[in-house]
Amino acid sequence: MKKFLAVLAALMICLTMFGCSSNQGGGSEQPQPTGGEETPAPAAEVDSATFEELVAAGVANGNKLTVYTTHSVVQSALEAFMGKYAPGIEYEHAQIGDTNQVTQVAQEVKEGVNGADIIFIQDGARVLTDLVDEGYVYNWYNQEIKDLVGDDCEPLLVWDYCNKVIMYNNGSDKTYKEGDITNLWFATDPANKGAFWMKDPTTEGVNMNFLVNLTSEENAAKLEAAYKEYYGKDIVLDSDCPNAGYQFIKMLYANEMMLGSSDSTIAKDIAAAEKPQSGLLTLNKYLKSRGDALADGSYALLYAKDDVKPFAGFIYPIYGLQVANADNPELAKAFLIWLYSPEGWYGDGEMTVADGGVYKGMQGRYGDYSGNTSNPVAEGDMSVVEWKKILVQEDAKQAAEYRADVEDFIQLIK
Amino acid sequence: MKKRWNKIKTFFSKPYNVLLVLFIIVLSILVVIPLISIVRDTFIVHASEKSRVHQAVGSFTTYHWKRLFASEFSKSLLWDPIRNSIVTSAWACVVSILIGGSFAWLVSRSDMRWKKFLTKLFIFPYIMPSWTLALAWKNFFKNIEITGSNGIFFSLTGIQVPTWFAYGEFPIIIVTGMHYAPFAYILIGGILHNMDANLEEAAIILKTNRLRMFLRITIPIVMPAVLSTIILVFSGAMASFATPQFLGLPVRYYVLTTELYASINGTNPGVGYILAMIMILISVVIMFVNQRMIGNRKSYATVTGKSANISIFHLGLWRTPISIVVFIVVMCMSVIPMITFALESLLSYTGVYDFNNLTLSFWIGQAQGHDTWQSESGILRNPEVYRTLWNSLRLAFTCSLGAGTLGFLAGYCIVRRRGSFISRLVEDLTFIPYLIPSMAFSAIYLSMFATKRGIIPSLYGSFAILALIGTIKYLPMASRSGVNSMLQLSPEIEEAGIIMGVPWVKRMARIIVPIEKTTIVSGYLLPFISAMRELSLFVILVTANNRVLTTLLLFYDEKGYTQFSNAVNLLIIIVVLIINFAVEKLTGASIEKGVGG
Amino acid sequence: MPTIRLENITKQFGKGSLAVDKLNMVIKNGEFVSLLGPSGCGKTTTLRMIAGLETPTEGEIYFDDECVFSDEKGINLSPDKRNVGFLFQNYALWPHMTVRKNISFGLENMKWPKEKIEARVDEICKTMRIEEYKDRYPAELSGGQQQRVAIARTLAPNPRVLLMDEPLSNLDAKLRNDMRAELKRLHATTGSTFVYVTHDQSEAMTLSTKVALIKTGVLQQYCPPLELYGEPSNLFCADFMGNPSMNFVEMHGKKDGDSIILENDDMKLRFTPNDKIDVKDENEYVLGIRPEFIRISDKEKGIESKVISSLPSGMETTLSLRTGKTTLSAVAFGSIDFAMDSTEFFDFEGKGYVLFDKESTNKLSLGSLQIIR
Repeated sequence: MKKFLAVLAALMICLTMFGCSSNQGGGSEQPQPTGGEETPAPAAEVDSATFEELVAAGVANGNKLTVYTTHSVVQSALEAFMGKYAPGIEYEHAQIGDTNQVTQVAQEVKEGVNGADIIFIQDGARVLTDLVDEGYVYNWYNQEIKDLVGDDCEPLLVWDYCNKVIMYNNGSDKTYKEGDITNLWFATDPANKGAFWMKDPTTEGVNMNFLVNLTSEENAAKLEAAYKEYYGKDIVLDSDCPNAGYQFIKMLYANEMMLGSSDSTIAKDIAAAEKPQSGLLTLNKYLKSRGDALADGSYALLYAKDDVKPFAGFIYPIYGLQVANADNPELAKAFLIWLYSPEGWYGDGEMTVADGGVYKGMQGRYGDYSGNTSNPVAEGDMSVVEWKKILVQEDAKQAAEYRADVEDFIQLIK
Repeated sequence: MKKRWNKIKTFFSKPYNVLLVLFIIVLSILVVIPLISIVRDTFIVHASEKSRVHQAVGSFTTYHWKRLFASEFSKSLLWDPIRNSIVTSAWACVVSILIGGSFAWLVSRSDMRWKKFLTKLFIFPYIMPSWTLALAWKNFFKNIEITGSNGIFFSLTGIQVPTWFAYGEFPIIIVTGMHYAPFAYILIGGILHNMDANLEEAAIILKTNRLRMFLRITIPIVMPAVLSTIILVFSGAMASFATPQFLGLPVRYYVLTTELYASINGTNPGVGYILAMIMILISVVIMFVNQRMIGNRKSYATVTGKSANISIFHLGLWRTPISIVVFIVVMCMSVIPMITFALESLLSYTGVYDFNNLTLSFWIGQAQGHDTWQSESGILRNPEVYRTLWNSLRLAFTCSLGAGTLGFLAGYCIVRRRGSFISRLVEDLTFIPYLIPSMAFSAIYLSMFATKRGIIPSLYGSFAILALIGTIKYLPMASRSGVNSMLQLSPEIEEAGIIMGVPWVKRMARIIVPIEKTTIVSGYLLPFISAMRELSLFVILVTANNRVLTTLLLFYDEKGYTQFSNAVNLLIIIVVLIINFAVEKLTGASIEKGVGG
Repeated sequence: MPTIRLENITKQFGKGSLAVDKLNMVIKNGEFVSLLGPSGCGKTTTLRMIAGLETPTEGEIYFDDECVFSDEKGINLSPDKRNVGFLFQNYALWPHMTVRKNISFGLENMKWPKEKIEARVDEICKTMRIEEYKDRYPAELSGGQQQRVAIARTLAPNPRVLLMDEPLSNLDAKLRNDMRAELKRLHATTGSTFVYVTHDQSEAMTLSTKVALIKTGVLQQYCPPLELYGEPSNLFCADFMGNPSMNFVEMHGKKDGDSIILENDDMKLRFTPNDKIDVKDENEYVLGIRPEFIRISDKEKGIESKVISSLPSGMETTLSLRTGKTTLSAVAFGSIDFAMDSTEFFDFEGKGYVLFDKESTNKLSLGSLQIIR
């Protein structure tokens, strides 16, 4: 056995050296976008190609269109779009979570494998560092999109906003009552120990981005003010906390914040709970849980609106981005443009999806807001403009820059 | 010169030598290079690490090592998870040996009732995807303190279990221990079953009391089985991800794998790779200590032999009570989880255990729309489910074919050259994949085979890469079973064929394979079952086009489609059980034989 | 040293399969009794029942006057209370203990003081000539050495009865012979009662003071070995004992006064019983002739036969002779060889010929033979 180990060690040393040197050789060649003609479009020169031109070019191109998305509606949208505008052209869609999608897209472009043409993905920080900086995907929009979306075209084009807001159980005398939660700092209150939930920030990046964004100067200042309002005294920062954002995170974890692996499960658990429970969850789950409550009547879920200081949660985009080695970039772009149209967002009542049903898009969905703010929101929901006022908006650049710091910080206090 | 040439020629004229050399080459590529690759990955900057290391991607750095071993993060990144991993793995060994060992003793040495029935059920936990047992535990013992709602246990008994019972270290140990208890049962039961009863009788004649005999004779003799169980369980527990993720996360209890997962998927994969190395190292150390303990002097070759009559211990008055207790434990381990899966898949609204709330909709119903929990059609009318089922079966079949065949051949040549360095080398090489945590293994395969290398095209996103990694990962089990089966076959049988001039391929096909048929099939069965229920090995290699049932299950689970995930889980278990029992009926092979009992 | 008495011992495994059927036997103090029979005849089961490792279905077992088992009285003394030693066929040495530990283990159980145990281990190792292996593990010993360790372990506590289950069957021929001599010497020096199971008739012959021949659970004959050899009580016993085995010739017999005229196609003989017996006027018989009782003689007196094979071993030569359709084996003493296919004549002498009733296979009488021309 000793002999074996010696041989193994020798083998490993040889191969390590070989492996390292070969990699350094390969490392110097930066991956080239195979499209070549496409380079990230600077804001100044907005692409003037129109939807019609792109559809025509895409059909002429004729290659298969592949879409990866974190959002399930994109799948049926693609089916409807292809059926109407590019019948006969092959397409494929796959729903892949953000972390896996980052890995997969990076790997595919790096190795020149035919993968996605366009991706719909959340977690701006990782997208920026892992994909955009490396040249695997790039941000693209034309004048039509620019006119509809405005500032949300940069640094990454927003297709859809999702929000995670404070949800709490309501319905019996053992739960919260409407209006009980008025300040985000309640989550750090020992009275709510172990009663506040989040999807684990280390497994879903948007949650981590939210925490990172909280440490920005601006948000930290708001938190500081809110602290005083809640606790009635000035905040005293611990030595390891540079600002109130960090202090909040630290107190959140110290207060035994509960970590879940799925928003839906958390929502169900909270709704069914027999003691006050709350969490930061996608608003979409609220509607579903409301459906549950209607059938049973015994439990319910409410969400906080403008009555919570300083934020009632956070709002994060799902970005629509072009992949460097797309097979059919024209059609991918046309699809992206189309998604902003009312037809793309809600369907026209006629377009069908693969299983024969009518394409309904975002009809009736809470918690999804088009990057094109002129697309109306579901009845009963608030507009994205209103939400942005009371939520922390994902700042991908700030998150990308400080994410490692905050992750490290959490690593130490968790 | 000529002499040396002749020596080489003679060496390669033996088929098993050729095989051994081939194994060394292939395993070096598929096992050793990944190991080296892990080492390399600990010294370079990965894309997601740019913002922390501030160096070009791919450049050399010692950041990860410093961070892990010499920074304020050492405790939470390294020492706490190591401590937790070792504690949970070690206790999981204890639990599985206690449960599996006592069950083995009761089955092979006592007059316990319903043996046949119970032994069939006892292997269920091993067939189930390991984390589903964790899920069942959660469903069962959910706790108002943590989740706000109560599980089935509370509904039945009104007893509120404490938090430590529902989440964290304790349930991880119990669940992992239960998952591996069948291993302990099969290995220890195998020895108990074959152990010469005379060894115990000799002690009785020499006036040894029961307790002393059990402690001084029986236990030492089953020790080798206990030790090999320890290796298997410890390494397996060390590498298990989903169970600690499910049961540890809510109370922020981290072990090496969950820390590894967070690192590799987060912004510091380099640290993750070091953690993977540490995990391998710990398992290797355990293996060496283990080999030391078994030692060479006390050969147990004399243990098995003619065992004409095993003395059955009469439980007497205790027979029925003990049988009932065992029955309940086995039910809790194998049947009740399945009932909870079935029940959870039938609930219209989760958490309401009411007869009116039952529906088959999540099995056979149509999609109800985005604003309901049933946003997809029931799994039995969902073409996606059938596609993934087919893909899973295809994959499991390929892995079992690959691992089973290689394992059998490895067993053959290892045994034929037993005692030689080269045979030892191959034996150790085939065992290494067992020690590499699945997640790290697949991360390495991803980076190794995503690129075209020499004649190997890029395997990224292909079925081939899944089949390849599955084959290699399950090779240890298959080759163990191969070694066991070949040890039982005397070389004379093959030599008789050699003398008659039967060529090697024919010897294998016509003599050895037919004789060892059931053991060989058993060697195929184990990889098949493992591949069917594998998650962490495939999760990052699977792309949307070649999804398997377990990743679909995880997908549903992450989406919170509880009913779907439970239904898919049940589907996996049922498919595996059907195949398992069909193979058992048709060929006489069984998991027990595969593990080497 | 006790006398072991088995009364109506019956052992049934499962339904219908009788391993031992109403066995009655007395093993006297200091005897060396072999339980002999083909495999599966119940001899090992009997031994294990004496030891207490197996529980009889019916019957009683006594050690002297102490009842150690009785199904009626509900007595079943456990093995450790019977004070017996048991030597297993495969030795059953504990692989995880050294030789020393293997031997001392039993003594420790009996709470012997330490010094006494050490002295006893040394003593017995010396007797068994295994002193230099005391610190080895069983796997590091040869078969013969393991055997000796097993004996040492069994003898160390001075058991009043030593039960042995085919202890020599795993040894090679040479070693087996040595060990036989050793066992016989041990029997003489210890004076213990030995009960010995074997399927090898020559082992039983050479070792024992008494042999119990068992067939499918039924005791056939229980007597000193030479008596079993010379006066087998039935065809089975006759056939089982001796190598080359006894010749059996089927013949038709007619009563002729005190003697019987035996006849078949090839021979006509007069059988004169040593003691007077009552037989039918005409009957079918089997005549048993030990090979050594066929004497090669000269032409006038003998029956003509052809030599089919001749196997000289130096001390004697075993012959196969054919006369008509009858083939007989014979032994000629001394260093002689016979040519294949040569013609030889033989005749009979002495009173050791055995006449069996063909139907019952039981022995009718011993007697002498005369050739009738």
